[in-house]
Amino acid sequence: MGTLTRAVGQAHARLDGPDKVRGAARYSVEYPVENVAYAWPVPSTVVKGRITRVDTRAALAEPGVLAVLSYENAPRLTPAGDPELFVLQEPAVAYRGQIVALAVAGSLEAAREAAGLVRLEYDTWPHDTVLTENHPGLYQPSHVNPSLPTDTEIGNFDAGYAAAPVRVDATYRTPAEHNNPMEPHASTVQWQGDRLVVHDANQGPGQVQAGLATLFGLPPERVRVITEHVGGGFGCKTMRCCVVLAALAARHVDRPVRLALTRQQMFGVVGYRTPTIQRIRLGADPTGRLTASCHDAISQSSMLKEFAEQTAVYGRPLYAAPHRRTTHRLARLDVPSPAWMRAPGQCPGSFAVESAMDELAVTCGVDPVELRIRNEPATDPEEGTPYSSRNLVACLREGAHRFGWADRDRTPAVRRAGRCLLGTGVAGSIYPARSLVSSASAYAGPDGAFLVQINAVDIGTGARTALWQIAADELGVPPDRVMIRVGDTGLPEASLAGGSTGTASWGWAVAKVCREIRVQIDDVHGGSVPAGGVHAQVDTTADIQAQQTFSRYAFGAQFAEVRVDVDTGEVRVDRLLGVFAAGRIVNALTARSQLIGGMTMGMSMALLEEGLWDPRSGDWANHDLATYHVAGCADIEQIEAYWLDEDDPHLNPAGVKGIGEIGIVGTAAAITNAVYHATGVRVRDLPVRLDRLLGHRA
Amino acid sequence: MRLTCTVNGEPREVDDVWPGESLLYVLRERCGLPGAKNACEQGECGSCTVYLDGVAVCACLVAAGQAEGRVVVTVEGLAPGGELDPVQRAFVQAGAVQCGFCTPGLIVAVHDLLAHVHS
Ligand code: FES
Repeated sequence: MGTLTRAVGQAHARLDGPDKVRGAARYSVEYPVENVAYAWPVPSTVVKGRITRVDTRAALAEPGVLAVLSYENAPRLTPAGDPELFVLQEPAVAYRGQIVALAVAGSLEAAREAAGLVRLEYDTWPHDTVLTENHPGLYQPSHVNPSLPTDTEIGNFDAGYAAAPVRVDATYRTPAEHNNPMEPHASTVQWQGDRLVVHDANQGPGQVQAGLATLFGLPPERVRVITEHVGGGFGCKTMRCCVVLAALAARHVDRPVRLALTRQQMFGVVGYRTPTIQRIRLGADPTGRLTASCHDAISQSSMLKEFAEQTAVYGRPLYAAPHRRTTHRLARLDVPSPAWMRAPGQCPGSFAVESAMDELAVTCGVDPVELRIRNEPATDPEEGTPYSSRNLVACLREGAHRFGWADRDRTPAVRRAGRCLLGTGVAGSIYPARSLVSSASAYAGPDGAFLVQINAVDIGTGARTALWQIAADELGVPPDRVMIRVGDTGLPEASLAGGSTGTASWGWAVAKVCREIRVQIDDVHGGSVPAGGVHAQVDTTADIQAQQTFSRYAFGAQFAEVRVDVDTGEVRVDRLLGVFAAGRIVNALTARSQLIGGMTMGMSMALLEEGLWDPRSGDWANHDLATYHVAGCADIEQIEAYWLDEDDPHLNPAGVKGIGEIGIVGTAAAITNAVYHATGVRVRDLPVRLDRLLGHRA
Repeated sequence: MRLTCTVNGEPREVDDVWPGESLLYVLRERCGLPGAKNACEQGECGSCTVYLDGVAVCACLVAAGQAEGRVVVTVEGLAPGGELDPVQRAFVQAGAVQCGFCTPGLIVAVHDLLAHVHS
């Protein structure tokens, strides 16, 4: 085995690739099920109110219709923490688009038709749906997502800022943005006696199992959730109402039920990135060394629940400054509940901080790469702890070299090619590297084959393939002798896919169980697998508790080159280049896809994505892919992602930091900084719409 | 109504088709061919792309009745017999497959694009 090539680090094509390109991979509403019925949700047409009458006569008269569920007749649920899951239980309406009834029929068309025939009457009240920086309802939440301090203060910001010879004070705004995974939320639910069998598109089958068990008053072992393939999530496929609605319908009509949300329905009920208003104040010496920094972030949540986006967390561990403050304020409005979207907190926060750093560089006349290098801290400036590894400077230098940053003329609005102004911009990037508790099992067969099982979930990231590579290396065998199973609550319990924790957490359990199997084979069984095979199961609770205190983060540097049409204001991103330091990269192929995917989504955020809110109707004005624009292939010219080899011993056995989110952090600022360099116009409100540039024409 | 057409080389007779339903619905729900996906149902995303008489179309925008007597090829029909079509193989090898949901539509679209380039 000494000559075995390590699987980790190779660009293995993903295991699920052949099935996916053939159209043979099954998603949650594609499993053949006998006697299946279809459900179609009815959204509220009022913003704030109470249902006074549910008239289902016309709907029920439609041929093939089995039932119409509402708060009046739906099976009762036990609250499971998240009020968004407590569906069809109460007459109250908290936002427009909230699901208030559900039609169930033998065919999808009949269910859809019936849903349109349900008549609801409401008492309504005036609504309040617009976030402003002086909204009277702004308050200080007790913590921000997931459980971080709301406000922090080190030193004395006010004094430090007042004394600073150079100051930047600017307010940045990001609009609501919608996750829009390609696959809308979808579930197939079957009650088998008192057992619930669920195929569901989600980021955490274990979370869905626990949620359904609580809601329906079942022991978790009687709920099985199978999540073989998921068409993306970006945060919005943590447990959502779709699967609960399907389970309610299946119980009520006593048949298996399928429910797939439409793209339009998703805008109302699956979460979105809150709009943010962020004021940044930076104080520095004339060379650009920060002496004071303050980030005040405002965001919104719904009346149903508090979701406090951790926007100002971004800068806490990033740049050095002796005097520093961060604050979060939240307004609860009559709007749909915001939730996680790719790099919650860090993504919108990076836009403000990395833009302000660029403004500081301009004010001081310092190169923006050099400015960031000058503000490199030795230890985490808020926690005082050492970094497990920190390679922001190396990313900046490597990126500058690859991009051709040297000799850049800092003067804005002077490079012209035909009708276009050209410019370049840079931004830093940081994202936490965390590991969560998971368990895994492994079986070694006497035939030399291995089976590794874990209830991880591959939402398109390539996690299945990465875990398989990690397993093969730990077992010391070629990967083709290893089989991996994920995405089923019948497998050992594992954490959900979120916060870029997947490979770090699941890979830890997989590595540990494979080492355990190896020890058993080599030390207990003398190097060969006995006839009955060898089995092992582990969990990582003790390992994770025993972790030493470090600040663990992935870092990156993003560079953008833009071309701005001076007549139309159109911005084209000619080149995007990112360099990342994210621990060990397990699979070069899937990692590159994750990183350029994040960067593309960041470009989309910079130039296109904007949830337009109509305050009068209390609803999104754009709620489909025709009117809510997401970047497509034609929006990307040249995109490059690189990574530095990092060997960080303080992470996890696989040595990974997670790469699902770092790619979107900082991208938008790199682009708006490039737009400034091209045009001299500083766009502080995303996206960079044509009017925001043309409005500044001389 | 009854819909008669050829799907992936096989003659099909599909009963109880509602005139208003889409070709995408017929393929996914009535023919057992869930390869083409429904991700927007408005012709924006291309996840539902199939060939209709050799022309790549968004199946979500084609009414079932429009397929009467015509020839449909879906992603499942590009490479019968288990082998992958070169376009399918290239997608896997290049890492162009991630969550896989729009992939079937992109495969058909690229297959069509390359067919035009060669001619
Ligand atoms: S489903 Fe998006 S184009 Fe047809």
